[in-house]
Amino acid sequence: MPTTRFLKRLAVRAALNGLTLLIIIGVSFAIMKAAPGKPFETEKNPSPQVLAELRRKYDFTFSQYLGGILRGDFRYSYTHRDSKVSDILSDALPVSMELGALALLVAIAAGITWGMLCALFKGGWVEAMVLVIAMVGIAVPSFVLGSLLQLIFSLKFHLAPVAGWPDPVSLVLPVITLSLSYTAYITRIARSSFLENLYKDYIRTARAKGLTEARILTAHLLRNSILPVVNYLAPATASILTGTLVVEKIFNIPGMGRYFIESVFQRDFPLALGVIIVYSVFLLSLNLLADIVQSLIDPRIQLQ
Amino acid sequence: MKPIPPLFTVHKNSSVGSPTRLALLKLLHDPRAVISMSVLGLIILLVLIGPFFLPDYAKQSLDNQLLSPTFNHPMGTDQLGRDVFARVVKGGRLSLAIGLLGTLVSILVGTLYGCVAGFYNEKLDLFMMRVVDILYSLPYMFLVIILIFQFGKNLLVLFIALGLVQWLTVARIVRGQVLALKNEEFILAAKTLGVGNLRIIGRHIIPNVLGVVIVYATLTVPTVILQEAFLSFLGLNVSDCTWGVLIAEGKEYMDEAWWLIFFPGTVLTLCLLCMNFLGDSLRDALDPTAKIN
Repeated sequence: MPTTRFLKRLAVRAALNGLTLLIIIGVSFAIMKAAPGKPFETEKNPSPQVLAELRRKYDFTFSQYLGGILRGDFRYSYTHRDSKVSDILSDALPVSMELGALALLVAIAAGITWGMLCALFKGGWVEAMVLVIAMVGIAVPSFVLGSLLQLIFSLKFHLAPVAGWPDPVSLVLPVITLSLSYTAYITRIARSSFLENLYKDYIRTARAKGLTEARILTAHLLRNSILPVVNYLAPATASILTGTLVVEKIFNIPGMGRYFIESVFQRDFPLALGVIIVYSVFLLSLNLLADIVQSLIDPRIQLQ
Repeated sequence: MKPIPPLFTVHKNSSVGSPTRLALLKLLHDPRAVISMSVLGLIILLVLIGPFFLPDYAKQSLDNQLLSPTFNHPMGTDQLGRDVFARVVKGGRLSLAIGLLGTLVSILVGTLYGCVAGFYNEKLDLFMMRVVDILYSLPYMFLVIILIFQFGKNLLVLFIALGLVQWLTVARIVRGQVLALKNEEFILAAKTLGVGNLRIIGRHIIPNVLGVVIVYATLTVPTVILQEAFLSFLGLNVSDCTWGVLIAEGKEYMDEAWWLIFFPGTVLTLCLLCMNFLGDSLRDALDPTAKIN
């Protein structure tokens, strides 16, 4: 139960996260401003009035920017005509979230299933095969996997479209691409956790009571060995976010990652900053949430 | 008079020996390690001496555009008629070099940082580790992307950007080891003898954390190679011919020439796979509690 000590630690963590966010914004801002070239100076110099008007609408200093963010104002995009960054982000965020959440769900379901198969058929060819596939799954980079899947399934056999968001069929290849390495990791984690618990006394007791094997596996074994998988979810979600960068590019999905790459290459500085801020807020709150959940599930783990 | 039987006998092939010898033995008994070391050895050999025998990786030939794999061009040719095999070999040289150098940078920085944080007083430790915590929670791939885009695509920026991330884990691992080591008796003995702090770190602490650092380094090399390839694939390439660049180019011509993306992708994956396997078995081998079977 939350105690004052717990709440105090929570407050400290939240304050540290706020500081981190400030550092992230500051560093990204500095990197972008330090780059050579100014967005408002071209060969055809505009008249002073036009320049002043441009600067009024599009230029800003660090303190102006921070003040704007507190009011939910992320400024205007430089490349998307008359679009507020906040509008673009609120269109793109659900797309990335859908892709990421689907990939994570597939990874959890498949990973736990494979892990259990490994533990049940320990030492056999099933385990050996699953482990080798898992190792390959960890090693193959997502951009290679995504491209090869497109090559085989879309271009050679015409089984799935190359791209075509938001058609559900077009989601199959991106979700496989994004989830494979996480499936592999979860398989490995789940396998060792299952193996650790499989020969414990409480499983023997459950067998002695005459419970069905299915019930032993789900109600007893799974519940007791799931914690390492839960612990892996926060870092996994964080890196799935980075994974969406390349998957959205390959499969041409209009999510945050694709907008980020586009905006960096076109020097659309407010849009890039906006994406970084949204990602960071997501990442930081996720880490905090994971630590809280952990300390609630297992009272021996305390919030630092 | 009967001869006195010896108290104990030493078998020639017993597993008694120095920890290093034991670790080596374990490594050679692990089929994963042997296979990955052979494959990696082959790749490295090819990458080192290959360019002397193969055609020039940049030589264009407009008569030979997009030829499928044949005896003359085992991996085909690309859209400008360049030999893909020669390009994969050349790209491997750069990718492996980037992986090794990037790892070296991060290992050096991380080890020094971790030693200093762990060895001196607690306040310094707390501060230095808080800095690491904050850096750890940055969305680094995004920062690396804007950093490289804004400050030019050159190797120095790449090393700084990738090294900035990788050293954090090294620092954490080393600091943990140092904390455990610094109250050991041999360190106390060295202190009692009047050995200076720097000498203690250099002669007594670092050799003892080296095993862990080596294991981590074998797992960092593929990470750095992968990240360089990732950046190249997104168009932030620091060189005109690494595996990542070849894959990105191959992606463009995927529907007419599958070999352009298939061969670089497979070689990259094979290399990463072997490095991961090797790192894993090295970790098992250096674990003194695990037995040879």
